[in-house]
Amino acid sequence: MQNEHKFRLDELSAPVSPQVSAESSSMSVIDVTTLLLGLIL
Amino acid sequence: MNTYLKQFHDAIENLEDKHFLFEALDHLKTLLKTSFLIELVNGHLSKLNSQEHFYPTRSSINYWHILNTKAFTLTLVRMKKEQDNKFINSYPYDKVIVPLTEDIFYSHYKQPSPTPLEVLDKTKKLQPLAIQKLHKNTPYCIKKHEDVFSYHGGSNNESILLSFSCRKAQSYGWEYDANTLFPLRLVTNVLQSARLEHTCKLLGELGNESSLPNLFHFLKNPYHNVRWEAARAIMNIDFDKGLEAILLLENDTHPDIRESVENALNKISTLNLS
Repeated sequence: MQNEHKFRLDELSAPVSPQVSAESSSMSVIDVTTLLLGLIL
Repeated sequence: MNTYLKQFHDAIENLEDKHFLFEALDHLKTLLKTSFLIELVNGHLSKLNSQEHFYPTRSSINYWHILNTKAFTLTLVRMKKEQDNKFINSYPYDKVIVPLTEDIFYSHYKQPSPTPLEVLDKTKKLQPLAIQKLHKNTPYCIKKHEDVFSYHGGSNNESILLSFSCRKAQSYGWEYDANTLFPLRLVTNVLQSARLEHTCKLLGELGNESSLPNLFHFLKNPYHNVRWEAARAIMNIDFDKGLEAILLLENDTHPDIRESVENALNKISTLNLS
């Protein structure tokens, strides 16, 4: 029966997205420098 | 952590929930009068100069978590001037914003009660107030479930803001269409539910029957988006199993799932299943 009917369920009417945050990525040294210089200048 | 940051941390880490925002705000104002940021920057620059492998933690190109505790997060955020923002986001926790490098402009909205948080009500439109100016070094409180803030920028292309977020309970924010001001989708700060939803989607696309036991297990997950994505994946792999899965969700606690099950069963009833 696998995939015989090719029926797909719709997405939820109110989809859920992940919150984009710093927790999922890392900062390179050059990025820190840019941020710090931005604060100083 | 420099002395000023340590004093700030120690003063608010164990405050009670009831008045957390307002008491923390007083301590934040005190912190802003100190040289905590210059000391922080100088300290990091010294380490960058002297330690080849120095690596500040919990940061990205636009964020730098100065303090990240069970009670709050204090973050530096680099913001680009608004360029036709399509979405406006609310957050399920109180937040304080402080522009550090220049005066900025922002739009303030009132959010009609977003409850229950996990059920998006697409009729609840944001109520816009006037565009306002926020002066450099001035804290601005964004109360959860009441206020929504949309950043426009200052005179420069980029600004740096200090963002203070209170007790980040695992929950949902609502994302709105910036043009119509009606809600579009839920945004979860529960990373695990986002990961599981993505994994279910991937397993469904891979289409291997060996994934079915795990996917059936996810039908009982506490997060409704995971439950529904598991059902979708099962349906992608095997129609009969998919039918079994959606029948298991027929009396789900979340109204969006019950509605989706009903729609699916109506569509299936019109299929020629001979």
